[in-house]
Parts: sequence; C-alpha cells; structure tokens
Amino acid sequence: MVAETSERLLKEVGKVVVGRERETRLVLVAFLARGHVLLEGVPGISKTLLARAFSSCLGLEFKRVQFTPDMMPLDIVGGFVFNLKNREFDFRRGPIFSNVLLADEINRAPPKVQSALLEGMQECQVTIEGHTELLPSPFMVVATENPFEFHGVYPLPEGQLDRFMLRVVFDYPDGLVESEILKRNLRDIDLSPIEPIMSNEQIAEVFSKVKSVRVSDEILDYLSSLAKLTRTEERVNLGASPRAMVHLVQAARAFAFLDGRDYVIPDDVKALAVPVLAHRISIEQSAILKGSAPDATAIIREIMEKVKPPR
Amino acid sequence: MAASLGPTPLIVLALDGAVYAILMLGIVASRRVSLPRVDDPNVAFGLLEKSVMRAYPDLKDGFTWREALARIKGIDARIDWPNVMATLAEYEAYKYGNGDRPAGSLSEVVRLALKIRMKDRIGRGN
Repeated sequence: MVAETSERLLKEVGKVVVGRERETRLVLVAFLARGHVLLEGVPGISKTLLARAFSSCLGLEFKRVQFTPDMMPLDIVGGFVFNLKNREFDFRRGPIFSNVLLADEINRAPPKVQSALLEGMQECQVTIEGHTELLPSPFMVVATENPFEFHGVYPLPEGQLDRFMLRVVFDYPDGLVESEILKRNLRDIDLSPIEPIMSNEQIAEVFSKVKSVRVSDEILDYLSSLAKLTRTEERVNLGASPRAMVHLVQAARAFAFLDGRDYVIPDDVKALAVPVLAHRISIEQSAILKGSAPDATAIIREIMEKVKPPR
Repeated sequence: MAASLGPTPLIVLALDGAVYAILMLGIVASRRVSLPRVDDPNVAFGLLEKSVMRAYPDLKDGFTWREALARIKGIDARIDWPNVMATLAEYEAYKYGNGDRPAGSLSEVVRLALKIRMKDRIGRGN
C-alpha cells in the first residue's frame, strides 16, 4: 500500500514535472517526516512547479510568496488590522496559514523576514504582539534559492538553515529530459490532470505510521558516531547540530516507510546523509583556500565512508 | 584363426576405467569445499564480512551490506542471488526490526562467503 502510494504520487507529479523522481521522493520524505525542505538550483529548473504539483497531489492548501528585499514580516505571518466597523484590531492571517508555503527565492528577503518563518517552522504556530495562533496541520515550508546569486541577496544564517530538514539540489536536466520539457512547454502547463491521491485522514494515518518506524540502538549509535565525526573533522568549522541528527532519524524513518519497512537500516541513513547534513555544516575557510575541502557534500560523503555502520 | 584373448583385456579395461573414475572423483572432491552448517545469522554474515573485507581491500569502512552485495554481484553465476537478498532482508528485519530469526537457510550466504574467499586465494596465487 505504501509503495503504491509513493509510486502514484511520483506518477501524478510526473504528469507535469519531467525527470524529477529523485527530488519528488525527497520532498515526500521531508513531508512524511514533518520537516521543511530547501530546494536549491538555478532559476527555471522546475523547483516551483514541483512544489505546486506536490501539494496538488496531496490535496493540500498551497500558498506562494515571492520573497523580495522590501518585504516585511507581516507579509508572511499577517498582523493586526484596525476594523472600522467594530473599532477593534482584527488579526489578519498571512500566507503562512496554509498547508504548504512556497517561499520562493527565500534569500532575497532580509533576515527579519526570513526569521519570521522560524517560529512557524519549529513550533507550527506564530506569535504576533503576544497573540499566538496555531498553523494548519500539516504545515510545510518549501523554500527555493539560487546558490549562484551574490548581489541583493541575504544568505540564510546557520540557525535558519538548520530548520530545513532537507536540502534538495536541482541539477540541469539531461538531454532527453530537456527535450521532453521543451515538447511539453509547446502547450500551456496545466496542473488540472493531477489528482489528489490521499485524504487528510489518510495523511494523518501515514504520519502516525512513520512515527512508529523502529530505530534500533545500533542505528542510533551509528548516527551518534557520524555526528561526532562532523564535529571533530578538522576541515569543518561547524558540525551537525543535535537537531540535524534528529532530522536525520526522522527522515530515515520516512525513507524506510516508503521502502515498505517498519525499521530503519543503515542504507536509509546513508541515502539521506547528504541532503540532511550538507547544508548545515560550515567549512573552515583555510581548508577551502588550501583546496583540501571541495564542498560540504564531498566532506559528508567522506565521513560516511569512514564511519562503520552496523552490519 | 584368431587367437582368443579371453576376458583379460576387458577386465583390465574395466579396472582402468574404475581407477580413472576414482581419480577424477578425488580431484573433484578435493576442489569442492564442504559447506559448514551455520544456524546463527550473525555468524553467517560475520563470515561474509571477513571474506569481503579481505577480498576487497579498497572497500571503505562505511560500506553497508546492500552496497557490498551490489559490488560483488556477478562473482559467480551459480550463487542464488534472490536467495542471498531475501536472506539479507530477513537478517535486517531480525537485527533492526526486532523480528524473528531468519527462518530460511543461511547456506547461500555461507556459500557466497566461501566463494569470495576462494576467488581471493586464487587471485593472490595461494
């Protein structure tokens, strides 16, 4: 049943997004693990389309916010507006009150706007002037950013990056996929063929099943060794946080569930180590200058090769 | 008139055949490795781990069973791979999922371990 649902979702998203099965599966993993996801890649490679198609598939309320440098936190979370009729301040909900919030080009907004998302991402609630409102459930932030922009952008601080369970890197499509994209774009992109594959009740049931996926002590020890090595590796300035490791366990549970298992195996951890950890570690500047640290992804891969998993 | 040789050459021929057959059986038996009976999955996979690490010294410490098996697949056509993979799945369920001990036979895993060891010995020339 699980594998069937996963395949149906991939098929439905595939009706409008071509050649992004790996990325769709990772977004699904983040969703099932109740996490948020950062989609990284150059403009025009289906990041936004994938997020829209994904929420349509699950029948979720979707809102998109284009982040710009002149934004205010109120544009995201909402705020109090004076109601002339009853002469009182009414709370007007911002776009964060949705199931899937697409924060498009998140690094274009100033840090205070980025930070407006923090409470919502961590605690599924927002507080404005002492007034706290719960966000709808499920709630997921899908943010996009272009890593090659340097002007007029505000790179996400480590604390904000740590809130994203997974970072999914979008590469350019290969030749065949690109031809198919061109062919499909000869007509207008239409999301209407996508059919919701799960009801809210089914989603809640799946969430509880993912939470019951077993993680043995051996797997926990393995994770702990990985965390330790990211913190002691001399080329790394800032290793994986405890939150990062919690996210890795949760994502591994969702990954195992999608594979039809009710227990996590070392391969689940290995498959997700780069998407979960690479965006959270900071590399020592001297190592970059010396050329001994290619990038965070390569360092995480090296660490995964060094730590012996349970066998 | 041809002289009758009697049954002697036939007896010699039969004896010859028997001696050759015994010799051939001896050679085949000496090349066949007897499969030890292993009931504990930890022992079977421990044996496989030792063989794999010895035969593939470039394999990094962080390898998982699925990665290792993907690499050594094709080492011997006579290995029943679906059986090995099914045994691995049962072993994982037992080890990480608190499941029952693998009910199936572990012989294919042990056979694989011995095949890897034999190929490694041949490769090293001893």
